[in-house]
Amino acid sequence: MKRIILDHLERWYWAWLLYGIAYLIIGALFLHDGKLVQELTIFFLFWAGVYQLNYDLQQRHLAALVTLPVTSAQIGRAWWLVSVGLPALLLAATSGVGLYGRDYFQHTPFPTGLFVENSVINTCYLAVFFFVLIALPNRRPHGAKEYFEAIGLGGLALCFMTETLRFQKAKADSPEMIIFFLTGTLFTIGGWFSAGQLVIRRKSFGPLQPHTHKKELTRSTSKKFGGIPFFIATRIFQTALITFVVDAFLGAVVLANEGRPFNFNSDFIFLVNANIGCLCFLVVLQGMPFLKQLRLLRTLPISATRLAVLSVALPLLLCLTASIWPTAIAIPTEGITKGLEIPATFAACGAFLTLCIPIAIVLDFNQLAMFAVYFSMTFGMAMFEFWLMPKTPLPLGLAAAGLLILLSFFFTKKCLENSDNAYRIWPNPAGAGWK
Amino acid sequence: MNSNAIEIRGLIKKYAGFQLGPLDITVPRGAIYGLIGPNGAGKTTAMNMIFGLGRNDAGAIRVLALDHRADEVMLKQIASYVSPDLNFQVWGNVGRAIRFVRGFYPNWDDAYCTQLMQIFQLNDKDKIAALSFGAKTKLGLLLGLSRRPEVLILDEPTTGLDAVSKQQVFGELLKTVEDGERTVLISSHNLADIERFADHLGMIKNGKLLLEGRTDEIVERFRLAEFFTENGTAFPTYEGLTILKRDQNRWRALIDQQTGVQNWLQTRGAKDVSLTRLTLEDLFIALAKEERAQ
Repeated sequence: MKRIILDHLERWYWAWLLYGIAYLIIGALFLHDGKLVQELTIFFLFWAGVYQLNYDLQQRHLAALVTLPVTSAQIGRAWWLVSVGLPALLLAATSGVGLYGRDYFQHTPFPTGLFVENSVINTCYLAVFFFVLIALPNRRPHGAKEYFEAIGLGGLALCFMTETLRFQKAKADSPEMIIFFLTGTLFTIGGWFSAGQLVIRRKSFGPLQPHTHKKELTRSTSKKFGGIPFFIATRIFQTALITFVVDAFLGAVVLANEGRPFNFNSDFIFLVNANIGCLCFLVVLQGMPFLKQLRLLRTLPISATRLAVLSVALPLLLCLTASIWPTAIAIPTEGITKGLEIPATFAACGAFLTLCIPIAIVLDFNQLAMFAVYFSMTFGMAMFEFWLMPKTPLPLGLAAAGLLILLSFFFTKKCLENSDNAYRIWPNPAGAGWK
Repeated sequence: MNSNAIEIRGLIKKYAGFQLGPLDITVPRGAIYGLIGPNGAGKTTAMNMIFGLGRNDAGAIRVLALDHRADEVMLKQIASYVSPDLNFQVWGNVGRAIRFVRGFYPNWDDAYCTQLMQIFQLNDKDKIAALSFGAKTKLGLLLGLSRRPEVLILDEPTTGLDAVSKQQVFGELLKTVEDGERTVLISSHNLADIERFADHLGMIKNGKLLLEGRTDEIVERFRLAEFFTENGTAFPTYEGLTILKRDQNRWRALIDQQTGVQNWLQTRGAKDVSLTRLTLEDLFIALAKEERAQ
């Protein structure tokens, strides 16, 4: 177990260092006054906790570990420590130093209650993320049982997070907070004790049902359109579907709490206004598969220029697609002018997202690349949505977005033509041999 | 009309610690050309360069007289690349992958595609994630062959296939070239299959082309020589001679009969020289060893 933890720290020390510095600053500047946007904290905790393990699992880390003389329980607990225990300690220590530093210079008493409460909330989040990551099937669910489990776990995590947002202004001894802490504690302790079982369960998620010969050949594709139009149509359809589900959930939460499904002045900034979660889903569910396809796409009769156009157009199209549902809900309640701010903001985020592909290619899809893409995209989009777009005149915003798109196109085209990195062979998380 | 389907001239691709080339390869039109070499020799890199999967540092590649950069799209219309490394999984099922790829090719042969689906036992509704490794390879072949390419480039197409499937694949490849117009460039570690099916051969080692020519001529050109010498005899480096093993005064060597090394050996004191015909696999192993006479 010690070796697994040390190996993890050796590979990810720089990320931990980054999180430590970031949380020190957060502790010193924001925690004391409660100015921190709680929704962004959730993203930060995802990074500081489970992201590294998730990346390793995508690289078939478990398949390598199971061949070593360690038990599943040892693997599971090592993972729990690097994803929950140690990050919780790191964040507690750095936020404590940050708070203490601020209080020292401002001659105010150290807010012990706030510090403890914040550390416990962080630990609960880390534990939930860990539990959900390890318990979810490591490939697309297959069969009713797996779908039910995946939806149940994902829904539980989502409810946990949205309820936290709802209770963020509640008092520490309110029933809501007690329920939150109890649930979080259950995940924390349950994660530690069931870590071994979760690893065994994860190992047992093999590939889907093996291919079996069928007597009757079914062909249904003979006359339908294909190629790039099919590619784009598929992505747009999937995006519309995913964002519909997410937005329906978010709308229901806001409706239950505020009496209408959309409210620009809502306390639920993340849920209502920004919808970064939706866009992050897009990066993971649509962006990564596109990168994995580059090798195939380059062998097809499509020039590097057209492929670069596609690379840049796709995030924009998908972001605009993602804006359809919130816009449709917002216009009747908020008016057309305010409603149309949503697609404009999403398009601006899309322009920012177009940078993902050249960044990932230039950095050769390594852990730093993935880190840079996810991290910078999440916080970059948040900056766009929370700070830049509301304060920027529309023409200036459009010009900035246009410039970003042009830059992305230029770099993507250069990468596709000149770099070998774009055509690396990706590990296949759902392929044969993956555990 | 150019009689060569693929011409690679002075191709160089540099990586940290490895350089492919300068490489010259000529694949005649209508041939099945086997590209063989040890792991890391540069076979896949050479094939990648044809399709623009990375940029070559020097040299020219022409496929049916089309330049691989200037005529990129035209080249990819008439040539297809099949490799187990191409990822179709994001398409979910076989039918959607076919639909996507087919959209790029106006000459897509739907009837042939259906026929291949029957031969390879693939169905529209089959989930790609659920396919075995061999079945995924067959899907790649199906997508490569159904567009009826004039040039088919296959990188390790028989990896993971059982004996029956391999037979099916090579059967289809033979059908592909039977009109004499279509060309296949294939890399494989299965040398028995290459010897049986490929009429031309190129061998790469450490990024350089060691041999190229008709398969039967290459196999005929080399012999395994066994001979004896007096005590203390040593052989200097000589073109066409590769010493494989020395057991005191008994020697085993690979000789290239075109170089006249057999006569040279006898002038240097080799006695009782016996020559044995080699299989392509024997020849590959011998050349890959690279132990030269001192």
